[in-house]
Amino acid sequence: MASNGDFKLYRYDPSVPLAAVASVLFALLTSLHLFQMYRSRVWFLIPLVLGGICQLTHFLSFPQPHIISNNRIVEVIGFAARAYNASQTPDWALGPYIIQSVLLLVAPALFAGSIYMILGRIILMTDGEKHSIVKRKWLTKLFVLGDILAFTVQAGGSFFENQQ
Amino acid sequence: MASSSQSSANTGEKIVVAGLFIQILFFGLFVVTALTFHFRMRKVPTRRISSEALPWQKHLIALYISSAFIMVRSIMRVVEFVQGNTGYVFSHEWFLYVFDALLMLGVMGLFCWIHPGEIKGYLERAKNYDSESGVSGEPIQMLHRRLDSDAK
Repeated sequence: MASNGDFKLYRYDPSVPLAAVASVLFALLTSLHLFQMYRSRVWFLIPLVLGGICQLTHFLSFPQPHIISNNRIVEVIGFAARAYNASQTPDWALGPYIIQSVLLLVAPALFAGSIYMILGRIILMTDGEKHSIVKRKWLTKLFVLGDILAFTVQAGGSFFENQQ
Repeated sequence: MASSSQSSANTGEKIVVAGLFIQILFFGLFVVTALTFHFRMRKVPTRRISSEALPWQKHLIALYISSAFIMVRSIMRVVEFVQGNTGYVFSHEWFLYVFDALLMLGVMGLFCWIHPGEIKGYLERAKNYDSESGVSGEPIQMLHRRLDSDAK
């Protein structure tokens, strides 16, 4: 238990085995995608692979505050985060916590980025641009712009929220 | 905590929720774009899909399923955020594993299985290069493409 009186970021004790299983699965699928991407040279899957890396990093570092609070296996990951924590002694877990939140926020948007380009390729393959309500040229740009806008607004809101 | 910082925290929260809704709105618009395209293609098929057996619907279905996963994830984020860090979602670990890990693994797994590389294979065969990627096909093939589209 993280019972050292610190302000709790998670309302539960993050489970190490669950995080480990998720990390292994994300590592496997990300490597498989990297391999498939290298073989097929489908570079528009780069965002998807990056999203996988975000998810992997999140779950690798997820139980970290718990681990640190128990002074166990600190070396697992995140030396930088740990160094940052050390310099932030009272609220030690905030650094990785914010990074983890951002990773979780960005990963689905990265997956979506590849999906936009997949639709573009399907339209190209079928020669069906006249049937698309958004011109193929603008498809990825428009929706990535939407994601960036949404992300910026969320980041701004979080900043505003935490400003005291 | 001063009341001014409390009210700025509330405003901040509203802005974050607005951001989450912008994300859902845009992504919804994307799904509508894909669905409309699919519907119109079935109604008035292009010459290319009538003359060649292309796996375009298979890839569209993969796209819908993965989009649905991402959409559910985004909606759960709103629920999580509106409930706050004392809410049910935030305080229960299985939510993270079902609505984040499992759904996102689903997206990755689906595209491993129905790999978009297949589309590229067909595109290369038709030498129909994407103008975005800045690569152009062979001149003769380009001519073919132009004639093909002129014929419509």
